[in-house]
Amino acid sequence: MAIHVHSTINGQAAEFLCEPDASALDVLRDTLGLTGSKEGCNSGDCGSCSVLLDGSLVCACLVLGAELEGRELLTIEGVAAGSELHPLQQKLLEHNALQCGICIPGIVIAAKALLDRDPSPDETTVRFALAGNLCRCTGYDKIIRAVLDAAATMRDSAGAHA
Amino acid sequence: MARLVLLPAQRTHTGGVSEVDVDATDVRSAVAELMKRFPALPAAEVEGCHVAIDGELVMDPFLESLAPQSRVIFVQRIGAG
Amino acid sequence: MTIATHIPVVGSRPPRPDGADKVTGRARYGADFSLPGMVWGAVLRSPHAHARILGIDTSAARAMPGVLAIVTAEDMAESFSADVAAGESHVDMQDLSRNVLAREKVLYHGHAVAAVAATTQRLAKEALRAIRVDYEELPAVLDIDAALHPDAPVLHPGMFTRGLPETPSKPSNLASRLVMQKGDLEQGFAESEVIMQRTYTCASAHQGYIEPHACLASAGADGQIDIWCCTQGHFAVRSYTAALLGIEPASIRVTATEIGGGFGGKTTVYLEPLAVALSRKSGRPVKMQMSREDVFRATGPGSATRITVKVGAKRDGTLIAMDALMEYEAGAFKGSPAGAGAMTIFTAYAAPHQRAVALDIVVNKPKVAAYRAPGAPQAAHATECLLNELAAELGIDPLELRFRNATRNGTPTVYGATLRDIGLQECLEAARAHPHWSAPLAAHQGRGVAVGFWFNHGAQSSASVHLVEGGKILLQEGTPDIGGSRASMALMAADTLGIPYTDIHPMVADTASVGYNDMTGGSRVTYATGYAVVEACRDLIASLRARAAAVWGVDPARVEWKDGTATDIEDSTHVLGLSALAALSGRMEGPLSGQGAVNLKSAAPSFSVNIADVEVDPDTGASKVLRFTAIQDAGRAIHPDFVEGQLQGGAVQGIGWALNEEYRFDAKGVLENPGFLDYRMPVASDLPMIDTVIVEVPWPDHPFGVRGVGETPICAPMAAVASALNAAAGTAIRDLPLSPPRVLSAILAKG
Repeated sequence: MAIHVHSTINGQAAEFLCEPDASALDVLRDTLGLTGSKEGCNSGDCGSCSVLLDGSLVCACLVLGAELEGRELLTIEGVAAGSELHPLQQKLLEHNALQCGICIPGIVIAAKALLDRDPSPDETTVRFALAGNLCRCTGYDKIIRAVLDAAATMRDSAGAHA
Repeated sequence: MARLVLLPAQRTHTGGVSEVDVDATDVRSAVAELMKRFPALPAAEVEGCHVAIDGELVMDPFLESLAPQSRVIFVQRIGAG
Repeated sequence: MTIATHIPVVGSRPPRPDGADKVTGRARYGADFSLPGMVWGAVLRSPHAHARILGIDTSAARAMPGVLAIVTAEDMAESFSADVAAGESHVDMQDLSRNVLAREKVLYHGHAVAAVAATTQRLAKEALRAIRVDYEELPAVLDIDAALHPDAPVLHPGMFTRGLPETPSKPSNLASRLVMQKGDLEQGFAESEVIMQRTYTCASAHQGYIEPHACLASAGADGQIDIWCCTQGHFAVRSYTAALLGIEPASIRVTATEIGGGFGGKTTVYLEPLAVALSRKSGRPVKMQMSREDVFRATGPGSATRITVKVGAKRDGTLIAMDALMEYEAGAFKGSPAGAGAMTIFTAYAAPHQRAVALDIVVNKPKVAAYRAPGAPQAAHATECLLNELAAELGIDPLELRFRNATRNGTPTVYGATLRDIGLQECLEAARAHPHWSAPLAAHQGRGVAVGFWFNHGAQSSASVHLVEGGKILLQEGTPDIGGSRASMALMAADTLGIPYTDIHPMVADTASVGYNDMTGGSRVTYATGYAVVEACRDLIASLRARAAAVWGVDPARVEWKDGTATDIEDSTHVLGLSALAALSGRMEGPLSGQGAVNLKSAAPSFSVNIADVEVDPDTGASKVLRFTAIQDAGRAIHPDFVEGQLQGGAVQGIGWALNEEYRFDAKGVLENPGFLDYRMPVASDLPMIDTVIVEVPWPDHPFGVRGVGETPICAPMAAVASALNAAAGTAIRDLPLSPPRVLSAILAKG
């Protein structure tokens, strides 16, 4: 019996039907057409479906679609402000930190979750914050550099506007 | 006369002959003469092999030209990822 | 009119053209496509590692509401005219067909037996449960020794070992034996003052691409078929699917979606022929995607191996004789990369007497697929670890041992080619000069060095360039972009045409929109597709010059093309740029394009040197890579960020294979760790920054001096890390992975 869910996704009201055992990832990809979050393992081990649920980092494959009732979800599609990229996205491009790119939506979300709570992480902190996001192409080097650079840029512009 | 150096797998069909001199100016005619000389040698053992022509590895040889003293070594087919 | 001087961009680091889509989630990968009326496909897989199929009863499943089609091996072609020469290897279609759908037997746990299409994913899975397969279970063969035992159960009754002096009278599990040699081994060992022999093993490791295989297939009533899939070779998907289903290749149009990693594992087909067959039967588009578990259980990993190396040398470290017995598991069907391993195992060294004996062995495990320089990492692990052990025994610095014996231009290899224009010496020098090599080490820390080599491929590529209104260039190429190659193509096109990088719009076109291309693999794209792109640009330039000459009414010999502009050497008022020429097309001979098509028969080999520092906790056996330096000859780095990315990514795959990654099977041949939790790949917190040094010894046969770089990076890390760990722990572990239990047990054993 399908469940009727009211949620807020990327700042917009979202209303959908889902099966009781459908994951939030299934709902995003197959019902709502938001394919930016990826299915790499469906068991919470790869992080490519990372989303922010009421501001907390979770794997969408480990959340039921029905659990989105009354809650706010941020996916990769909601990170940029229109055509204005978030500094994390911009720095990943500048550092040429992506190769195939499949892990990048999850990495952007996970890194955003880190910088939202800690604007000055060191390299080790960044590495542990991203330990739940598997990347097989890059060896993580340029990704870490891009996140540290984005953090510095965000601190500078926060300082400039202080 | 170009000299063909055969793979061990090919030698089982040539009665152990490992090097063959052929009168050919390109790989295609060299192979044709080899097959004519050794009818027991199956085409499958020759088609698809790489060759090293005078030291240069060629992956899919066909009409590459051979000099009078060229040395052509058959190399087992390999893949990549 | 002033002409802006074109500043060369090859060698710079601009953002890639597809980057914005990938950081915003807009890029579409294999599982991101849908069509109206789409249904879902699912695959029934064998519960046995080895069994005869006595019968398949699909009647109950067919009767279920929502089930629209079911296919088994009966829906595949019975016979094939010739092996399909797709990609870089001639594929045995009988084997491929049986791997896609089992026919007489199932040969590994997870082997595909049937596929269904149903209106929902849930219904498809329920339909699978309703299919009755009658199996006669057979004993499974699960390792090299079991496979080679004289009384071993035989996987393929028609397998008579190829390459033996006499064709055997009985079938066996040894598919082939290959011998490559040069010089006289007996003489070589007789002249040696010291002889060392060791045996090294590697477990099977998966390529570990984060994106599971996925595709969408749509068969029209007129016989035209569309496939969207994540693949390293959409032309190969076309060829294989056509052959397996008895369809004309020209009726199939394959679009390569963005791909979430391949590393060789996406150079074959698993789902695509099934999706097409289901679409033809049901009349609906069919979407299929593998679960992570299916990826591990049923797609091809890299080979598990046992390699015995014997080396003879003088006391001063000069290598004289090198001999290897290389045993490779092929999985359920023949075709391990043992041959490639034999070609690479000793090629970095000038020892005059060398032999490699390579055995291709079938076992009841998934059929192996290519994994980045297939065959070479396992081979390099054996040779490089042994050379480090030899150096220690002789009291010689391990890097010095490499200098003393490194192969040079003009040295013949064991497989018959003679290397030229190689950069091994330069890589060794860069290693010796690097601060990493002389940095101090603390207690429980060790350092290892190793050399890597891969010969790389050339093969076929096509490209087209089109002048678009406004003066920009549309560049169509046909090799899927797995590492940033679109950017490199645009850089080479920009410098050839003399226009800004951002004026080039590169795209990976589908099989109906660009000429034939061999796969992305073999480290060939920047090399061969780049070559085709340059040729296409030169072809366009010839047309642009002729067009300008016609506009001016002059002899084309007077027209030059420079800095994106046509000029007349005899009249400086004659100047035409791309925008003007595009605007004039409609009033002249029409649209302007250029074509390039190449088949590069040979390619430039790439050498590497890696240095690794590892620290071991003697109480737990846990280890950490403290520092890693990857040095490699790239010929010419078109886009240095992407070359560095290849070095770093390959290094980390090698680190994972050395320290933690392995396929673990139980006694019945069932994979115990088919998920990322227990198949443990490196994560960000496991690693330091990966330092890179790009050496450039240009390859003279490419317009920009390019040599392939994608595969060599995985060749040396396993030996560098293993040697470092053994130095740190005081152990001599020769079996990978060096997981903590194994390391701890070796530490405790030494007392």
